[in-house]
Amino acid sequence: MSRPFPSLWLCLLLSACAPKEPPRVSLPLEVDAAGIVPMSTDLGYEVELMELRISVEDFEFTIAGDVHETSLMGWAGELLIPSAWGHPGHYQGGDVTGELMGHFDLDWIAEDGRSLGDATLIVGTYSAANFTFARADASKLEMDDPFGGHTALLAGVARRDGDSIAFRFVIDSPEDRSLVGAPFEVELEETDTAPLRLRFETVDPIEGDTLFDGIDFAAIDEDADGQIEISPEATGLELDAYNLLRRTLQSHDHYRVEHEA
Amino acid sequence: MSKPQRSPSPRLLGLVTCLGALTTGCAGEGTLEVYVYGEEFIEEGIPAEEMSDGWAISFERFVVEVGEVSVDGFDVPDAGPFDLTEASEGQGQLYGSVSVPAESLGDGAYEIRSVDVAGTATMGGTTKHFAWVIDEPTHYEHCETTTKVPEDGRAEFEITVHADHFFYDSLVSSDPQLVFQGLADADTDADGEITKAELEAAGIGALDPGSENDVDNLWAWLVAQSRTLGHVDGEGHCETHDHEH
Repeated sequence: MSRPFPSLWLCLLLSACAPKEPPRVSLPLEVDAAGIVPMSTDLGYEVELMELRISVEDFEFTIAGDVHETSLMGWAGELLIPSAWGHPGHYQGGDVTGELMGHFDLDWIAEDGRSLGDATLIVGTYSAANFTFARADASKLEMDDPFGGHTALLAGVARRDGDSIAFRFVIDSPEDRSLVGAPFEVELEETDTAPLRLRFETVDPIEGDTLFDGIDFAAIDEDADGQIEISPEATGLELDAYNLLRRTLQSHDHYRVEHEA
Repeated sequence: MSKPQRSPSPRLLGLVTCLGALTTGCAGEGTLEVYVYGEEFIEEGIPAEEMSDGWAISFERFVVEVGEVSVDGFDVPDAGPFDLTEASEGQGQLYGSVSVPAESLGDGAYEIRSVDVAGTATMGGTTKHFAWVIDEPTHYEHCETTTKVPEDGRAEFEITVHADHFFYDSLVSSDPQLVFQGLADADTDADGEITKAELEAAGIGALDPGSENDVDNLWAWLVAQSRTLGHVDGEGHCETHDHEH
């Protein structure tokens, strides 16, 4: 019996062992303001958010379960983004198998529908999205824009008992502070083309908490002029409100990534 | 000295491996010694220059109850508890030892069942005393370590306790600051003793609980930080879970 050429053996070997390109999709990630709605807080304020600007960078999308147990997805996940060993108890979510890198200064309400670029994701069942809080690039903003150099700016009106208080919070997140675990419960297929929508929700759809729960606007407005401006340099009651809002803003309760196939 | 007590599956695997290696001979045995060490931060205190807000910490006691210690499936009999403030000249305190095959062992695991910590924090002329018992167990597993056991020799596996985590200003930062001021401010009756009740009544202020945002008072903060105290061989990390998960 004749024996195949060595090159044929090599070809057969390579075709059997070489990893196949994992199926993946490229989908635009768009800003979505549909979840920014007026809210009734636990302290009885009716709050309307008129400006929401947040500086973020480097989106990651995590797949449900442990993909290291499945050869193809495990290989694909490692190929796309190497696994990180988080500090004990500090890492949440599954393996990262999708991403959109870059720096984005988001004006959530004014730029509803803005495309941030195309995210690349390996086909699979996703569970969560992550990103990192950043600081707005002042060189690309008006010179007196209070958002410049900061992580977030939130402005609006809070009303209670016939009184209105206009507010503006400027927030700074710690350097490289990541938001981990924003819901992204989607099964992606290779044929999907619909955009991913990055949604901010002023009311937590699970627990019903609002973005401004716990903040007593009237107590902060000590001179009762109907205006409050709170910055990272706040002290006293203003600092308490600043810290509370910062914690809420940095939690995953008010972010979601949607995909309508 | 205890015989190796590996879990059934690894033992069977080891037997198969050993039988398979009969033609070349089985590896010999060595001794694995396990230590518990709180480093200089517990034995000597945390100096003010290590803290971001000028407080200095010293511990009167730092008693940990540790159990379920295993390395690569070899169980080490329970021992202790250990007061990690006792000087050990950098060695830590001997927890126990077992005979194991002379090979590289990984996959360390253990449980910290409770932490009983008391001490003082001082800054300028102000001193605050604290005595807290956190008895919510945390299990550490798949620890990042490889212990190479020489034939007829000894190797060490160290359970390292990082006391400074109690004073981290973040549950998620890779570069947290060490602070005590928030805990000091919780002493609302100004009697110099920071009690559990006072901590439960105090908000976490500027501390960062992370994306979960499910820590809403300073006692819960300390409990959450207690789940990050355990390491191996200095800075090696482990996966952790409490017994509710």
